[in-house]
Amino acid sequence: MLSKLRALGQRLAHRLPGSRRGAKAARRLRTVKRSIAVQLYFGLGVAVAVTVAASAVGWMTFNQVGDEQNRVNDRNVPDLAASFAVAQRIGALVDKAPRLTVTQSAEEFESVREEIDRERQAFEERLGELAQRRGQSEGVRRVRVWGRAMTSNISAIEESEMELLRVAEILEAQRARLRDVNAELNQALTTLIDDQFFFAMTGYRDMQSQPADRNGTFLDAELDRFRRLAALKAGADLGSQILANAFGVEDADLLVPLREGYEAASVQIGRELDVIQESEMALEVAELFETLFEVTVGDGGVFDVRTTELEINRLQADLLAENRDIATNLISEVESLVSVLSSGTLAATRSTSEAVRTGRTLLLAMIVVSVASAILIGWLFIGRHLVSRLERLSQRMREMAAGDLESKVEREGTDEIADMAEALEVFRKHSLEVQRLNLVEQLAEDLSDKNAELESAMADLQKAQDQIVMREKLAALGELTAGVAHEIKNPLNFVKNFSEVSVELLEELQEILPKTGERLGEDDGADIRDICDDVTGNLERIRHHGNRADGIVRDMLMMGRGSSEKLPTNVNSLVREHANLAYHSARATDPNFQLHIEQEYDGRLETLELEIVPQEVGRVVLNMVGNACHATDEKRRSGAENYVPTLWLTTSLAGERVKIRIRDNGKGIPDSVVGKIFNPFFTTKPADKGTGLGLALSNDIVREHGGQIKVATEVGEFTEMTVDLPVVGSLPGAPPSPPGA
Amino acid sequence: MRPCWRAVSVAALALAMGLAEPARCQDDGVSVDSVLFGQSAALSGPNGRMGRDFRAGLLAAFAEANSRGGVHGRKLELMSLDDGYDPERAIANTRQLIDVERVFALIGFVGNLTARATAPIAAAGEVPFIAPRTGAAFLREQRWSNVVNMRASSQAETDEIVRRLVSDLGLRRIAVLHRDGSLGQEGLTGVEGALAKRGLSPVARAVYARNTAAVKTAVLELRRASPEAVVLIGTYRPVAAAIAWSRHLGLNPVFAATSLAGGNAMLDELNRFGTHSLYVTEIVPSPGSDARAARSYRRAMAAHAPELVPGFVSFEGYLAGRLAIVGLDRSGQAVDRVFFLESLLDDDPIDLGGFRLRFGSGDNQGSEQVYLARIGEDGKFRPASRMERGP
Repeated sequence: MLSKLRALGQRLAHRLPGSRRGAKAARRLRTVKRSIAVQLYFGLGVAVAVTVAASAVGWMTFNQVGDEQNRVNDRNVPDLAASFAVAQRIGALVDKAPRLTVTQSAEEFESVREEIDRERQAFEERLGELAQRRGQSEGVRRVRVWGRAMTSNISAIEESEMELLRVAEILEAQRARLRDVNAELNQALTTLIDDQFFFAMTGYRDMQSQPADRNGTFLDAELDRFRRLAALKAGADLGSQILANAFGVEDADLLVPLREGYEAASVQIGRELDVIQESEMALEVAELFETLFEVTVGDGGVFDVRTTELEINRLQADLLAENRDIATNLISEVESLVSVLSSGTLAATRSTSEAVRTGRTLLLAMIVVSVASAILIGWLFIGRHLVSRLERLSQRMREMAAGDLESKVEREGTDEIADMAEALEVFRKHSLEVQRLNLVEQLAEDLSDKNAELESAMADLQKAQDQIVMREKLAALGELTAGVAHEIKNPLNFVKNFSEVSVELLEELQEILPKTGERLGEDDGADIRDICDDVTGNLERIRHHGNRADGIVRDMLMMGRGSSEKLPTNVNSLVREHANLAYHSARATDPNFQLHIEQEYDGRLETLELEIVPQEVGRVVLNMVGNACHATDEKRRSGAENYVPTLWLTTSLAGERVKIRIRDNGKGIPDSVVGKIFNPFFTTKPADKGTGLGLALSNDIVREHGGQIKVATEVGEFTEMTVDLPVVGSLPGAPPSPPGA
Repeated sequence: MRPCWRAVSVAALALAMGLAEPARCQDDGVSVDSVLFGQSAALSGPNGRMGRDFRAGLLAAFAEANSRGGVHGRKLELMSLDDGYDPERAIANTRQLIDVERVFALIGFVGNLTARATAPIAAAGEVPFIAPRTGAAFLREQRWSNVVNMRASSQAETDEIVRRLVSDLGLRRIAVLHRDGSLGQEGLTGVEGALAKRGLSPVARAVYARNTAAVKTAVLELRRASPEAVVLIGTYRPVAAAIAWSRHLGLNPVFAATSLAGGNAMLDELNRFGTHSLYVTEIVPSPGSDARAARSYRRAMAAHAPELVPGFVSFEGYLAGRLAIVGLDRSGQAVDRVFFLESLLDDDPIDLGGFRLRFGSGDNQGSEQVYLARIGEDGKFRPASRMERGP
């Protein structure tokens, strides 16, 4: 198709002179040779140029983004940081204020106060910085106002805490005093009660004086005194219990009822004391009570101081609440400041991201342009200009390799590919030349082969001709033999008959002899008898050999006759007879011939007569035994030691089939030959010894009887031919014999 | 500063064993030339005499060591604070001694109640708590790794008293007079236990209030039971008062007091009442005996506190001081609290001039020895091997 198109094109080109001129001009232009390297450098250069352009655009975009970012960093971020710093200081101040109220000692208080001073100063500084950055804006002014409120609040807390610490110190001293007084009071009262009880019970006040008279009046008075002492002790216990409560309460209002209870107890105690003031001990107790009351309910006593302490506590709680409020306000002011700043920052960030988006779009466009130009360069230059031409060239090469050497290789362009095309054209022409030369050589070779074939066919033909001649000779010989046999039969009959008669005659002579013997001498009679006996023996031999010759002749006749009639036949005797015939035949030709025959016939076959053509099957046996004789004889002649040429003849009945096995221990058949032995005219014997038809005919005969021949052999060891025949003959018209008959 | 080779070598050993711990050369209270001990005891009030005597003994022992150049070149110093036998003040004192004065160890705390209140503080700070003057079973528990008890337990004393009363004198009607609170209760339990072993129980249990000498009611209770013997568990004043008033009321059982009653202080009290004849158990040998410890004690007292009459309490204080000196001596140059406690509490017996102590792991009780003494009609202490019917 392509060549047709090309031819059409060429024709058209011839018709159109203009286009022809154009092609000429193009050829002139292409005379300047452009190498692939130059073209590649040019393509890559274009690609690099596009990439550089894209990078330049990207760089410009990022520059813009950077400028925007710097603007944000320089202005908005520091403002935000300053606001945050202020917020942080406020947080620290708010955090510190409550710590003032929980200090335990003056030192701790001082350290916290110093910390707060530092924080306050830091707050003022940060606020100043912010004001400087943002100017005296309304937001900053408000923060400053709330900051002042915070400062004054903290000062108030500090003052209250100082007062509280002072009160706590007083209270601690009072508590220690109370502990001592109470302990002493307890000891004194316990001793007094102990004494009083003992006095009441024994009348002894001390060891020096005599015991008092324990009459009724005594007992009344002393028991009353004991009761009062016990009441004092109970009052003192109650008092210390109330005091413990007073130290514990956190609510100033609760102090009032406690104080009232304590004052009631003290009034009661005073009343009891008034009654029992007589002994030294009692006076001491009264003094102790006085001290106690002074410390507790006197001016600046425990109750007063506790009241002050709780009031200060309440004031402090109020101040702390105020502190929290101020802190909340301050923080919200700072937050609003921060939110103003962050909205500015947000705007800046927005413009930055706008710039980033623009840059991104530009970069994307550049990438698209780069990729497109790369594809274009690849497609136009590499794909269309280089690869497609290379492909065409390689296609041509493949076609040439496949044998298409006829069409011309076209030269396109002026580069290395065009050179390659030119070279390929040269190769093509050379190849065409070589191809033609090869064809002539091949024809000559074919001719000589055919010649050899013809010669061998001629040889085969010659051989076949010889064999046919041989056959004809044999056939003639067979007819001759039949005729000769017939002619010999008559004289043989005479020989037989007369020999028999002679024997009878001699018997008669011997019967007669004794009667006449008297006339003869003893010796003569004996001699005559001896001679008669010898003659009788000779006659027996003549008769025997006559019979033998008769048998041979009969066999020859039978063979020659070639009957094809199926007869019930005893297979065992058939085999036996034909084997003998073959053996004798072999003996006849070679007096040195030896063969030991072992026979084993199936007894059942003596009664079972097969329906076969006896001459035909006999021929098969004859042929096979003949072959066996030949094979063993060959082996004997080859000089095998201790070799006894042996032939095994076996018949057997297996179900519906009869098997005739003929085995020899001769030279065997080589593997190369086994497959050919049934071919007509195939023989290993010299041409004058065998026709090459024996086994071929045997095979035909057995097949016609519905049987088959199996061959087993091993070179130098044995050959075994098995003729397998059906009990029921397969020839048409043959009466089927009942099985087992 | 001298290099502390022992700590360095121990640290090296510990490092080698992979058990490195920070090596401290010196603890609080230890300086190049001194070791400071702290004591909180009743130096005033009804029981003040006991603290003062104990302190005098301690100081005598320290002065004796200092006059020989101190222990490993360090002079021993004692800071004593008065707690008036008030647990609250004892706690404050202990805190001050540990946190402010930064003493090396606490020594010679006098009294059950105060020791009970302060030992936990010392334990929390891992500060040694040496020879408290109390027989409380509580301080002899294994959990105290910082307490070193020198004296025998009060249980040992009450056991001895009851054994003597029953075996030597064959008495069966035995009463107890004890102080209220845990100490008195412990003494009562001790007597009850010892009696129960012999199939007996106290015929009377009389109580008086602590920090007072208000024992007259208790005496009346004793009189009602009319015992053959009275075991007295209390300090010198109430004990002396109880004996005197009992006798005044015509009650004349055999009196036996524990070492809680003290030595000379009680003798003085008895003298004041003009009554004597009393058995006392002590936990140190008689200060007037021929024991080496007693001789060196008398020498030290004569040299450093000549105004004081030698007695059981100051002897105990002296022995406590000697015990602390043994600990410091054994700890070596680079003494710290752990070495100090370990060197005292290890298995090595300590012999303080015939007064033998033996500690061991889980055993912070040094002496089991209880000495019986008798205050005769002449108002003098005499060591007694057994109790006898008085003339």
